[in-house]
Amino acid sequence: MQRIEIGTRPDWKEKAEAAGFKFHTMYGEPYWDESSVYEFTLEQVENDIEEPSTELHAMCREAAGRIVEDEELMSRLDIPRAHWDLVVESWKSGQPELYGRFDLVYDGTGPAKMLEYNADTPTSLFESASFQWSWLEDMIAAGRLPEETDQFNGTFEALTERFGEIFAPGTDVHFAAFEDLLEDYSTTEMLAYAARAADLGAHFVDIRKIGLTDKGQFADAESRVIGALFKLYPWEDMLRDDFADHLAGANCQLLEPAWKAIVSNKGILPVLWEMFEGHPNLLPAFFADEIEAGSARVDRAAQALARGIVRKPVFSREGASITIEQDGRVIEQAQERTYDDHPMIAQAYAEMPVMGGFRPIIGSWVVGETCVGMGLREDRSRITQDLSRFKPHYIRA
Amino acid sequence: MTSPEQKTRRPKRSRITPVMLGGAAAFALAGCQDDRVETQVFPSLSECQAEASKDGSWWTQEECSAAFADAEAAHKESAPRYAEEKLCNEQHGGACYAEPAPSGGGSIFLPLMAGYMMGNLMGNNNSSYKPQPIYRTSAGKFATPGGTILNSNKGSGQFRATSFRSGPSTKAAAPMTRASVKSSGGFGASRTSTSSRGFGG
Repeated sequence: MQRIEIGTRPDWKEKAEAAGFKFHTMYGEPYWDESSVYEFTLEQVENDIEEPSTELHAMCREAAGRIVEDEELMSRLDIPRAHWDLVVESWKSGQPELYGRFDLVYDGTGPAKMLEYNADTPTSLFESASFQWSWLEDMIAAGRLPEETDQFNGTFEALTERFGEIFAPGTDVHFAAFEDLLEDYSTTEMLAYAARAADLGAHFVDIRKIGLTDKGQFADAESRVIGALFKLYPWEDMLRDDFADHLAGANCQLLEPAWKAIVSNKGILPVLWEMFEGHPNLLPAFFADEIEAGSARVDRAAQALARGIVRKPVFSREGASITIEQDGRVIEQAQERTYDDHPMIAQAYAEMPVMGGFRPIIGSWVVGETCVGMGLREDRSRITQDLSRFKPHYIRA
Repeated sequence: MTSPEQKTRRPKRSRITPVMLGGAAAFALAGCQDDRVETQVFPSLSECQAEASKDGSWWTQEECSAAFADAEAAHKESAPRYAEEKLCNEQHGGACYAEPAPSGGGSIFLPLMAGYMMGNLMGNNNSSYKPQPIYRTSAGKFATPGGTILNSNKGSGQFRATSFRSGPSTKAAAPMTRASVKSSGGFGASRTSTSSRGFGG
């Protein structure tokens, strides 16, 4: 794994605009940045990213199966008690999952470490599955990378295949997001393309415009009944909304399924560590009060915890409310503190590689139960936030 | 023995054409739902087949059979079902029959098919538009499970494509049927966070 100063395509900006990729620059800073890119070997991708991510997903499923049987854990994950049945039932009836993205720390050697699992509302799908793909095609066509150069990016095909597994051809699927949030909307558009490639009908509805019919079903802004709903809106919010009571009786198939409220919750990290203590791809993690109280398991992690402790709320997006401590001193914390009021977990800090002054994070895409692609973001800070940059990668020929 | 050629491994990236954001392409336009479909209605399979051989028909005997089978399947899936025979007869002009209740013990009642309708979907391969069964109504007309009302169980006409959408299950209305909405805006309060820059991560 290397960071290569490869130089941009001369017309990358025109290409981005032509593709409708309007957020290539945000808050006056580049978001899409192809001036330097990451190079991997096939072995690194397959042995260190792909296989471990598929295994991690299987472990998360095992943990979900345990958490749904344990009321104390359901409480610790701050899942509203009124909706436990909905969450548990979605797991027990085998509601299918669509996709998720692991955030991994990796430097090209040794096992990648799982920071968290964006298993409910992962974004950056367009730039990862489509624009990154075009970048490689262009670079090969321009003779700037050898013909045999590859990329770990089967994401779009896998999504199409997965939609086809979940729904019969011709099924109408609604896609809900906040229409004015460009990044979120773009991810739903990308998914809609995949759904249409699977011969499904794709329809957009703003999440705030979903209505309730007199029969207790959900309807879109044109009063059409919603039978299947992909929502780019977190389960932890969904379950606290006024319509949450209608979810159980709405006869609506949801993506992600409600059990992703467990898998996307940072509270799954201490459960994973308890179940798979010492697994090479896991960092030691505990519920915050467990670490204060102390235990044999905490003692066994003393060395890792001495290198630093990351405190994260069980719900958090884009790094908000994360604090990194070393020797009881805060060395870095997110400016965004919007999730401060929620239960916290503590995870051993994994030192991140610094390449060209930036810290890369690998996002590995899981579709269904299999890892199928990846995308990288890098940040100057240790907490990857909304000013991080998306970086293309390739697999060396 | 020869070893397999290693160079021809499958690429690790999709075969796709790039997509475009911000256009109407990703999502279906509501207007597309309102395409008109040339439609034939028949009281029975044999009448459909008899008409198929005449000049000007766009359907074949095979299509009659396939459409009838689809309509029968839709009938089994979505025929209106009643707990009382009397009520079923009132709603469907007396043309009802019984089947065992799924829970066991007793019967439920459903109307006999009074025919079926099939659309000319040439050049429109949207497979969600299935041939539909029709039933007599209390008002002496005919209706599909999805609620499309017909004056007769024989004839031709232009119907909205949505008339071919699958009918409602016994529990709830089918996806994409128009329904009366009593409230909206019950999602989106985003109570776990105080910021609203995005919900993805």
